[in-house]
Amino acid sequence: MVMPYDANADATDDALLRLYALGDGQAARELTARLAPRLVSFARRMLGDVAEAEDVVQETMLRLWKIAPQWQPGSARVSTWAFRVASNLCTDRLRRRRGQPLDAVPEPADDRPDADQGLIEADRLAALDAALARLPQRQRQAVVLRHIEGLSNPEIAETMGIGVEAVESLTARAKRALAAMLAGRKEELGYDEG
Amino acid sequence: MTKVDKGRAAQTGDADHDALAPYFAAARAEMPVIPAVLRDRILHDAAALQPRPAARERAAQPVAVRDLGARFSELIGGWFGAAGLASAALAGIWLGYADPGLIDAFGGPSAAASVDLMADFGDLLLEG
Repeated sequence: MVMPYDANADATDDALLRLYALGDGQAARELTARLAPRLVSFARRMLGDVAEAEDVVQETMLRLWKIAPQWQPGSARVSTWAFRVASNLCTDRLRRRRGQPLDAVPEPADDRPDADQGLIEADRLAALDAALARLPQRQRQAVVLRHIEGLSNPEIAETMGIGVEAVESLTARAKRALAAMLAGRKEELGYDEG
Repeated sequence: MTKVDKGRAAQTGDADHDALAPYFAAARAEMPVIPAVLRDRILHDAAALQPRPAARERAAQPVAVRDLGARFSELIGGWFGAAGLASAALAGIWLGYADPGLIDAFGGPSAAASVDLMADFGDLLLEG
């Protein structure tokens, strides 16, 4: 018999975490389905390496399972907490990389179909990711969380451990730099009509 | 920053946002999928770390009460120790309040005083 995956679909993340702590295995599946894809997307953009991003997500989820019995409902959003842990793990890895020779650092990964397949959408994503990879880490973190993962500025402030104004400043600078980097590629990427 | 500068910055910010909006929209529209192998790794961790029933009951109690209860239970040897201690306490209370005559009837102290368990022991000593 196949258990329905959406048995807890209406439950909040808080409630799912509590259910997990009470022994509900289905709650773990639902939480994984909700959080892990977004975390992988975020960590991949932060690290530019799929394997490392997946390790970060596994570690983040592992910490979530560990904290579940002590989780205080309403104290923080589970997703914000998870992004904060993933952010810190990414930062640790990026710091460790600084001590490595440049050749040991992986190139920004792009595991989607490329322009050779004529998929302009994929090309745009690849261009965005390449530009993001050239941003300073904090700007990249802020702009990805705000404009791709959809977190609010106060949530990003909590995630990054800074004030809301600092978040606004980081995202503004990041967007300015991204716009400059991508300006030369508008025609190539199909944005010349407007 | 003057009012004019702020206005220019806001205009620049709007222009940047407009230029980037299609890129961000494309990124948001991307449906991230986690590989089955990663999902299995995560769920394996979840199963391994899921609290057991006894731990869940303990987790449901307030920390201070749980600590005191656990320490006392360990001190007296768990549930068996607690049951023995409770029985002994009840027996002690009963002995304290019961009619002495009733205790004598169960072989209490006055009855025990009259019992000679080895009546012939003196004879055995004399016989060597």
